[in-house]
Amino acid sequence: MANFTHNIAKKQHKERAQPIERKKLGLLEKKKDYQLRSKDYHAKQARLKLLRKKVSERNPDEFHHGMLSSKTDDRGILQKDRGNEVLSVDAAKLLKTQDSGYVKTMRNNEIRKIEKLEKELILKAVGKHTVFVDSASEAQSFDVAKYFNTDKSLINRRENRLRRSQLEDTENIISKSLEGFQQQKINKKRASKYKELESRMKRESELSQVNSEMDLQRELMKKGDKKKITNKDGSTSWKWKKERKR
Amino acid sequence: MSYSAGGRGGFGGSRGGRGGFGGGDRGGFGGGRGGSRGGFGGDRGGRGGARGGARGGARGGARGGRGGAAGGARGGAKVIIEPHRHAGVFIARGKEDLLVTKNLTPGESVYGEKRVSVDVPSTVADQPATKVEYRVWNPFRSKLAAGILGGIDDLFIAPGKKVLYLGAASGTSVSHVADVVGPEGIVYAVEFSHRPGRELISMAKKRPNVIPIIEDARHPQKYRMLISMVDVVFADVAQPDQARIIALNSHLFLKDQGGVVISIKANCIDSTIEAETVFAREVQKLREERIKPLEQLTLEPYERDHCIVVGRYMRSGN
Repeated sequence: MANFTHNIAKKQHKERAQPIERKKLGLLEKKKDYQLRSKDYHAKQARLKLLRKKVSERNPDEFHHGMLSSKTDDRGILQKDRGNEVLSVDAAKLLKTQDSGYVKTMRNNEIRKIEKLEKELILKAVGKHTVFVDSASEAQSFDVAKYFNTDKSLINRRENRLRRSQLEDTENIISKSLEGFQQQKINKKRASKYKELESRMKRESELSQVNSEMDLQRELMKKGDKKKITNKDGSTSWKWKKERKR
Repeated sequence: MSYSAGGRGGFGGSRGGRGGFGGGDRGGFGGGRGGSRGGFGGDRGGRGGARGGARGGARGGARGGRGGAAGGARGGAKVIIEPHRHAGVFIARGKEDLLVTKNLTPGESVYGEKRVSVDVPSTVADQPATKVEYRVWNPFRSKLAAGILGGIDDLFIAPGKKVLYLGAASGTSVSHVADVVGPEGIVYAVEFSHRPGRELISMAKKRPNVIPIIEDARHPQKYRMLISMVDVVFADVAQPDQARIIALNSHLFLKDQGGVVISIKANCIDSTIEAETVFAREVQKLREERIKPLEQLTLEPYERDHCIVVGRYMRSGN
């Protein structure tokens, strides 16, 4: 039956809203909302209880098929496939040539820079210097400063051990130097160059090691009978079986 | 002959090539631009002038009196020339440490080496300072330079001496030896191969004290007419029979008590045995040829398995 009361006359029901002072708590919770929340909470608690029970009753010796197909590393961490595509041998070889090409380029760069620096600096000579004398007694009484006719303080200054006479003559020439301020600046620049050379040399030797390691890896990827040899000093090397190419 | 066939020589060559290419390319571009821009010249010049003035003023104010002094020093006093144990050789100390020799032909490099010029105040009052030019001697390219930096006691090569240089190659080291002996000395440079020999000759054209000889050092009779008695024989021949070659030349041309300086590359004599053994054997061979060894120096870090042996020639035996 139709309802003949006017809509306008009807009292509108208004839902209570969250008071402004409690606005930070979000929407005002109603019973329906509470029921949902409560159900969810209790379901989770029940699930946790179940899991805890399962854990406490677990048999550590129980068999699983996963035990056969998966592996852990030596720290006991599960080793899983990360989903990376496996490269073919040819593709890996190609990429490795590119890597090695890059390393080679960088190494050549270093070599060129080292060469340039070496031209500008005097390296400390480390060669073995042998002096021949006539008899054993002479060798016994050998005096380096006397042989080189120089001052004792200059013995280790191999690039220029000035003679005694020169030291007397040219003392004023050597002590004549630039203005202190400028001398300091130049010395600083020179020292930094020596430092740069040292670090570049270190880097070059590292790069050459990396390069040879990369070359070895590429060779190992090729076909051919080879044998790993452990040297006496613990390092390893590889030996290939001799084979006619044609 | 004076270079090992290692990577270093190869690098030098390839670099030179590239430099040439780049230069040519750029030159072409520059020409084109110059033509099309000609019209703008006047306008630009005006602007540049204004800017320059403003900047100059600011700088002067900030630096004050000091600026003048620094500017003066910038000219050439940044390098101190240190006299060396061996006369005719110097060490230039500045931003860089360099082994140098006084350039016999100022204004010219022989093989693209750097030059350092230094002001020397004139001895006569009221005269402007003169410039002295030095050429940089690279110990990585010259075994003699490596030996000098390694601390050889007696080089025998000094101003005014006559030097027989066997294995001159393209004359890079020879040019420095010529600088050391100076205009009063003479360097007889013997080289067998023609290609480096050509460069040697072109170098000798500019240095009156270098006499190039393109002959086999194994047959000193062939060039005996060109050479007088010498004070020192320097050999960098890198041949298995180098002791014999040196002895032949010493017996013919070296004066009594003269010096013998030999660079030995162990690999060139016998690559199957240790370098130390090779050196010892060579020294023994020299002894048999009346050359009394004085000292032996290996050339690390400049060369590997190389050494320089210095000896004195005892014509009548010792």
